[in-house]
Amino acid sequence: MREQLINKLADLAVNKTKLMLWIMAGITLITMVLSGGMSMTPKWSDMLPEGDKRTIEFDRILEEFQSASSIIVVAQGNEADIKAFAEDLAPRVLDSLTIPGKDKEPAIYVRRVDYKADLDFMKEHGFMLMKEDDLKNLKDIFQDPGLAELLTNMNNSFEKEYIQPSESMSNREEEDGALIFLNGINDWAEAIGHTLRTGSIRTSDAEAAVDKLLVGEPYFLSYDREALIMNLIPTFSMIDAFMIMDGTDAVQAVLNETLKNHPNVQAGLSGAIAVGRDEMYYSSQGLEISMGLSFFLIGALLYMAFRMAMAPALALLNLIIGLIWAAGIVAVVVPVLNIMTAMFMIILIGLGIDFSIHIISTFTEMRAKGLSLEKATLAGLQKSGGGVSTGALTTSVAFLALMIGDSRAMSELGLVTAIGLLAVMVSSFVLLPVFLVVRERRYSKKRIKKGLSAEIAPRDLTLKPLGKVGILVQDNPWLSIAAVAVITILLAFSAREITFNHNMMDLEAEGLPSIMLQDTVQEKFDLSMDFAYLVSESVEESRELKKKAKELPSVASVEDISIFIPSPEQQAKRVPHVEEIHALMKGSQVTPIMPNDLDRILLEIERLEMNIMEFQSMAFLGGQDKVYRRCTEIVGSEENPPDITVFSNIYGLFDQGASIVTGKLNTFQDAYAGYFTSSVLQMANTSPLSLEVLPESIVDRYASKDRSLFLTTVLPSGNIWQDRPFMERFSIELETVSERTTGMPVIMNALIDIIGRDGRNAAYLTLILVYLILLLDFRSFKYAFIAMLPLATGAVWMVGLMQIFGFQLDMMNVMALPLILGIGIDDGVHVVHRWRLEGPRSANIVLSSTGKAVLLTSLTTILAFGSMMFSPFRGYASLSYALIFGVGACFFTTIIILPAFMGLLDKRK
Amino acid sequence: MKVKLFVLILVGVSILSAQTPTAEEIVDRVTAIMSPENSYSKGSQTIITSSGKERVFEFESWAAEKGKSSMTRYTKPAAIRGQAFLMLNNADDIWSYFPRTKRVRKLASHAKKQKMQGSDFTYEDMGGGDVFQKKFKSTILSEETKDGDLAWKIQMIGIPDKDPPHPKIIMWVRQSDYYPVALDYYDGKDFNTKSLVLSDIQVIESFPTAMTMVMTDNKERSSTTMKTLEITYAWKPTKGFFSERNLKK
Repeated sequence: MREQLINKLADLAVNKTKLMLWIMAGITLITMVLSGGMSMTPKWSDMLPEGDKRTIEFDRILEEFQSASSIIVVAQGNEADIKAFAEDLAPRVLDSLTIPGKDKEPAIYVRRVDYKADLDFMKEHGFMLMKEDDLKNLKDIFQDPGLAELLTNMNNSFEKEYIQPSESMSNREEEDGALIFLNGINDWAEAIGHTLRTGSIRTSDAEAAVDKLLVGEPYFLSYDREALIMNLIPTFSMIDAFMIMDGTDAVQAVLNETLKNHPNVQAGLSGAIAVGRDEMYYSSQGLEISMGLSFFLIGALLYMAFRMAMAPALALLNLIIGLIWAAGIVAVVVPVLNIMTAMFMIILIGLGIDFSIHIISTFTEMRAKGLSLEKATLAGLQKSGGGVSTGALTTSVAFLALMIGDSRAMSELGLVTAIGLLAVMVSSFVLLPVFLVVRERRYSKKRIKKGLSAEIAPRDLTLKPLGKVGILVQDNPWLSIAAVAVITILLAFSAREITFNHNMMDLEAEGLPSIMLQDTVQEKFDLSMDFAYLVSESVEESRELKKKAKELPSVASVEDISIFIPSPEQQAKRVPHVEEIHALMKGSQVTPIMPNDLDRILLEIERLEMNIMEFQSMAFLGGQDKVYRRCTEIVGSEENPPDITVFSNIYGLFDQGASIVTGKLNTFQDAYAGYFTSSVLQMANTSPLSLEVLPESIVDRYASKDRSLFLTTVLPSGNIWQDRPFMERFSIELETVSERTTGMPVIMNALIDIIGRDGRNAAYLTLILVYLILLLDFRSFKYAFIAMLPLATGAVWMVGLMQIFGFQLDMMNVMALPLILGIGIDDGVHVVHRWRLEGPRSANIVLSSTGKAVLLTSLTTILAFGSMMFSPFRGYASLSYALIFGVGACFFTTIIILPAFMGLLDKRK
Repeated sequence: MKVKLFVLILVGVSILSAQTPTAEEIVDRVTAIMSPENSYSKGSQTIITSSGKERVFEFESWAAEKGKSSMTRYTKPAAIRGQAFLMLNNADDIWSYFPRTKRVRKLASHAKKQKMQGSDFTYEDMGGGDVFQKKFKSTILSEETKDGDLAWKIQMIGIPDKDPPHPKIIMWVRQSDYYPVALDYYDGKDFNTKSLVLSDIQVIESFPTAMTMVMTDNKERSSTTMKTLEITYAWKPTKGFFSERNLKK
């Protein structure tokens, strides 16, 4: 049947050339239109099995929670500059934005900007948000706003806190609390120093110092206060692939424009959306570069191999048309590509060109032997058709075997590549002969015009050196087999040593702005963006989940809405303390500072400095670096005493004379005391906290759009990327809290497991299916087995060589193992086919002719995959190295093993 | 023949049972070995800071009354040189001296349950004094090889009304010298919160002494290494040595 089909195709190519061209043009046009519907998603979760609970939950979170899809602006510079930049940028991004370089109407891409804490809410309910223990410790401060009393109370409270240092700084949250306290004191002392120096203080500055002391820093500043985060809540989510590109580009343009007004500030975009945009942009760009490069390199190689320009051009043209057909069909079957399936085109280039090479090789060989156009076309298809169709079928089946897996990463890649490969094969059988006939006819016409013979002079296009290798191996079969066996055993030992790199960050693009800023956020804010999510249906459930999650050994911190809505029991316990603060402050009276108060004030300031010094020592011993650094900034260190500190500045200013100092301190007291009293009274509000009283900016952060679901964010206590057992433990422990746990750590943990399992299963299935196909094709157990031998040894060589050259397996290149089974089998299939056609003692002709084609196809595949080395995505590069090793190994095992078996079997005959 | 065999087994069992001490006896011996009357040592302590860096401290330490009273003074690095801690009554009373401010401050009484100077050790972890004897009910779980030595695996369950430092401790005691080689500390949910490994055990002045102790906090995923650089049990305190006045020296 295959023969009949081939004869028919050869006949159509020669006798119905124009009709065939028109039909093919029509198909190309239709598939081109269809391929326009293809898009790409940057979400790793889209690689998990369809219907996976983690994916469903993740998508639901992206859909329901505005805060889950955010663009993070990271600004760096000095504190004042970055705050000014944030104030400038915030209103600008909320406007209608245009996308540079795109002819689109301006649109609103940002719904809200969170870059400051909601101070009004904090000042309305601040004390009810404090833990009972903190209220007990701190309430002394709020007894009397008079400067001397306030300093005394501050010291008392400081020392009370100090006597529980380990408890108060045993985890990150408590360390952050200590920093807020220190920052407040520092600004307070600076305000005193400023007033003593200038004799005046602006009301707004005094009030800001009070706010810092009472509710902390409003901006989201890093620990060194040299970086600031703004959280942009977009009008779209991670699910909208096109909006990710447009929205991020529009925001980037505004940011660039704003930066012109702030030359001392550096800023960029990060967060899930910006990373998604960068990944899509750079992966597309990388794949485009890879495709262009591979076309160029393959064309150059074919030009050198065939010693003519037209044949490679036709092969590439046929490939391009085949790819268009493939893209059109794939767009219908799998309209949205993920990061893995996006590279199917590169695979098709590497493998699809092989069909053309085999057909052109035999066609030109037949023409060079002097056969007529009709006969050469037929003979070309007949001699290469069997190998091409079986090779295409085995490779397609190998890819289809990937569909056995649960993960969409593998199953979709398998499906689209198999479909694509078959599409390119069809175009190679149907279209390429037509092209070759057209080309030959035009060539003949030109020759006739020039008065030359229409027929081409016979030429030998075979590769003699390969033929010689074939003879050598064929004549010394046992020596060759022994050599291969020794190498294979050694490489098998090497392969056993190969390790698996679980760090997904090593697969990401290096130097992407958004990813580099993630590192900045990690370093400066000690904040990982790789958190897990838990969803609950009520505030109470969220509180309960938070409590359970916090107890897990693998959890560093948990954030949810219950921070702002303490339980009724907690609120009831806090009420008496808050009422006490209210009563004390209400009954307080500020008296003017008298000269005889100065000694006490000075003493208390010195005591405050000493308290910070002791806090600093305990922080150093306790390894609390952030607290130690902040203390050192405020009071210096004994081994490197600074010239001036906020405290030494104040001491110097006390020498101005008692009456002057008294006057200035009264100015300071007058500026802040009233505001301090009113703020404390306002904060001492015992009205119950509930969802209804929370401001929208807070509720949006934790609640779904319809307020029916609540999001809990869980940060791991270890590095999930560098410690795979920890990632696994974190996921398993969280699943004990909620079955609906999701987020990057959980998804990646599942993905690593699933892809590993899928890869193994697919490899086994591929081996079985390929053997069955070969059995059907050759109708001989022996030949099917021999054809598979180079592949089996090649696979071992591949992993062994990777280990020797220092490569590790990872989540991308592990896919090379099942892939190489499909790709590598072709070499053996073509050589065995030709061997059976040519008969005994034919190693010379088989290797010099088909061997040359196999060499060419291996080189083109290597060039296509090798072009991915230049992709900014290290994952693609990792896969490309593995496939280069694999394809190279399969070629060498083919030209050594098969002639050896030919020699052995021929001897028996 | 059968009678002879029975008598032989009976004698064998009797000899074996006479040789295996009870859990209480093992814990008594451990307490005796771990609590020499007096000691003076120099040591180092390595911690991992909150930003993941390693920090090494060096200190001198004095102990008396089987660990009931002790004092530790840091010698390196410069940032805390001279800072000292005085612990009396099995760490029920703790004072700290800060050389930069020249102040002595008393820590809260519950501080002994907290982390000791930023390490993963608490003041109570080592079972100073007779904590293991008085606050736990012990049983032998099994005999097994631990780091190449035959050891008893002792389970110690905290007696609730005795305020034990941990609800449960599993301790491996080397049979050759009754020295504990490892301790696992458990919380109320039976989670192994911390693990202590004692190694490089040398006999110093007839007391087996672990020259290296590594405490791993399984929740915080941190660890602290304490090394004894120099130790003598011949040191005797002078009168008033464990005092606030001496703390300031």
